[in-house]
Amino acid sequence: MQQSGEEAQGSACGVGNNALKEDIDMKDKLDMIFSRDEKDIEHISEKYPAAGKKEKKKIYEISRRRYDELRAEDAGDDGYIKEAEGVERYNRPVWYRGMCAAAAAVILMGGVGGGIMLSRSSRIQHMNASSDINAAATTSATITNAADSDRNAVVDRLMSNAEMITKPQYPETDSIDRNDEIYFNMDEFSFTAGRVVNLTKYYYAVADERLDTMEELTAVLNETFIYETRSRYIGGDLSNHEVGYDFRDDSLANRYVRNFITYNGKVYALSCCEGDMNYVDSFDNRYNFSSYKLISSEFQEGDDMYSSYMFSDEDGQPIPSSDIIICKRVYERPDGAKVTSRIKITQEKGEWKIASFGSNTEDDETFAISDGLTVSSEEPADNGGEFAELQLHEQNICSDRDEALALYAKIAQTADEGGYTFKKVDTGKYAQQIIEASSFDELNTLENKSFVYHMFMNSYRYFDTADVSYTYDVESNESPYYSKNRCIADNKGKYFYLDYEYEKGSDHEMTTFYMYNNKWINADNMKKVYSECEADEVDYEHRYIPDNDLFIRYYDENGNILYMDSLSTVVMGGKCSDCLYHDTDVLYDFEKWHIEDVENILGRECVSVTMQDRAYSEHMCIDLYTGIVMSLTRTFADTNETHTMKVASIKTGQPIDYIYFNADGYVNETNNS
Amino acid sequence: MTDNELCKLLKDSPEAGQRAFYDKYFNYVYTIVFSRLKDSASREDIDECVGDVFAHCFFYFDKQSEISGSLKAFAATVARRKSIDTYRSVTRHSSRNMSIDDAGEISSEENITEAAENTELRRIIYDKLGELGEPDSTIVIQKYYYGRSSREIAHIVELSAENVRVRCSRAVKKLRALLAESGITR
Repeated sequence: MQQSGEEAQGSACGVGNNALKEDIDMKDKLDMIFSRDEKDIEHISEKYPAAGKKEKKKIYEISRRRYDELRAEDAGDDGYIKEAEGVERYNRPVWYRGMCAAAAAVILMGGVGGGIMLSRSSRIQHMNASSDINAAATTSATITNAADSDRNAVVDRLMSNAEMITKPQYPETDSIDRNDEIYFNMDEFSFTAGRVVNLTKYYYAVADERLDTMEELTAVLNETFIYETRSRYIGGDLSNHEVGYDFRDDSLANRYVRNFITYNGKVYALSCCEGDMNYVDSFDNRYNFSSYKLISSEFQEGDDMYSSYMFSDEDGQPIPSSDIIICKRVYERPDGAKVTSRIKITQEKGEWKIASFGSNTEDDETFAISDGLTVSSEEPADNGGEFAELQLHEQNICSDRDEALALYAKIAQTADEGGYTFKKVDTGKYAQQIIEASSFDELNTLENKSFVYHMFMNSYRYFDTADVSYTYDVESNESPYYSKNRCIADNKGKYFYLDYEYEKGSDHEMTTFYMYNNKWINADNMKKVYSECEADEVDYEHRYIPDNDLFIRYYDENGNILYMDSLSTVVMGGKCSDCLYHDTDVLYDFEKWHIEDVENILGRECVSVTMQDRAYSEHMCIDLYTGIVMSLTRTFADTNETHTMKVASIKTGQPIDYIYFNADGYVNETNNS
Repeated sequence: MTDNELCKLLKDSPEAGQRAFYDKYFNYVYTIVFSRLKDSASREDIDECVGDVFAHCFFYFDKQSEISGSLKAFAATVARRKSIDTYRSVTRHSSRNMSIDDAGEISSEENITEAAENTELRRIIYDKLGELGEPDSTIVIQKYYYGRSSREIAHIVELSAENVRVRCSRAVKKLRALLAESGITR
């Protein structure tokens, strides 16, 4: 917040530098007590007025005006508000909320944003007004519909350009000169950190001769993207700044520190990821369309009903969604994995251009492991060639304990008889929907939250193999501890390995759990002893319980809601439950949590979720495609104890080498345990 | 007025209930919104956001056949949500390319230690601020946290702007001395 003119003038005219410095010192001190911590907010709001009477009155008038607008919208015919469960309220996306920059920025960074811009109707020249909606071409070779052929030719051309523009932003490609690197710093708000953080932006000199001058780059951008989208690519000429310059005090830095900048006469591209790292979201895995085989290409006229993002044309006028065409393409990479791409196109001054594009991969689903060393293609037949319908969340609470017991028995019996069959839901569709959400309400629709809940509770059904290293630490005044973990799992191969090193005060523990051949082995690597026991059948596929039936609750005679039992199908003995296998009802009550944002962790698109309970608060980042929890922070209200889980490295869906227990030097204590 | 009384008033006499709800939770909501937007939004944006929070609360109350539960928790939730919306609408960049290092920053061991130290420091600052007495502590808060001018503060504490300036200057000196006595010199 800027100081008022009066204060600034006072500082400049009379008080001098020392007084100004003292002012800043005092502000720094006081800033410390104004954190976003709930205790600070309560303390400040209880003790001090937040505004004067005049401002308070003005804000009240704003609230009345907005309230009247909401009521007027509600009186409309579109059923703006939908009730869910009689308690929680979900707002349908509202078009006028659409001018959200966050979603647009997504387009640039990950190519997965949602938005489109059209010129006004009078200037629209449809490619073929009579073409069928959703007309699909099954393969590139069998595109026979003339309209779709026309459209596909347009999309081919545009995507070729988009690929060319995207490539220099990935440092592993040959479109940049890795030896010519510059960087700048700037402040950006981080929802993960909950505050503004100072980020280093790395740039590499563009080596692609078609893009290595700003004139050429601008020309390609002009013929590829609509005005609003292409504007976000082009930054400024930063030659007047030293490499490494920190733009933290420049509130306009985001206008020129963008994806492409000029420096000393050369064009530089912002690096989307670290150059020497191997990411699932690499260019080759996600955007190298020209090397993929086109499997299908479908068109839809009009934007998604869920998309509340509205672009503006060059005159700042909003574009109607009906003027948008979405092309959904499925490609096959050389390694056999599928890449799904969604491209939104529209016309600008009679020319078709991209408003947004993005792609999802199925890396996690590429391989199935029949044993520790053999790789075979995964059978997508699990889903019978189609996706299951996402079950929208309902919090069923039985009227009394007897009813709960009866329900429990019925669900258990149905499960035992194989009455429930699991099918994967369309993760790409829902993940995209969440990624494209441009407001809190749009993020937190019942559908999106149900999807996150589904992925969380069924994580192990969405990856076959995983090799993950993570830390789990407890910060506590009384009993802090630190642990390092490595977990290797093969769900279909029924193999599990957890190596666990733990420190608590003077205690130091090193334990490894193995599960294979229907046997658990628990090895104490410090004492050199081990024990074995039979493992329950890890038959997660056939022990599926629908999401809404996993937890059963009921009202007691005083109207309190009690938890009766869980039908959760705990796998792997409940181990690694904070990361790979979740058996908790933490997200069951939708009133207690919400989706904060989407973020990329270790190359994975994750949804960040915040939960508030009486006993503790929790923040989790959940992989949208596997349900794996990538990070977790849990703070307990009574003790202020903080538990932190953080994934350091992870691979899923890839061949793994099993590690078997070697009993040499160990004493078998099975009979003693 | 207790929350139960307020819930009843909201149903029996909605407009009076809304006003009472506004009066009761204005400070709380404003502080939540301000804490989240102070670095990215203008005063006008913050005012609009706070107004929007209350509008949505009123609208929600209208739709309920019965209102129960913690109104404070509800207000806080709406305030946090609307702050995010406002943040998104006033900024032109996202955190999608935040490095892993930055993401890890909040949970690093050093920062947790630092947070514990800060908790103690904050307690001392709160105490010393309280020792200034009123209206001086309010003046200091308004100037250094909310960034208000002496003229604006004058309306809040019902003093002249000149008087606010003088009191503020003295209060800061006193606060600095109090903090120095407690070992906080920087």
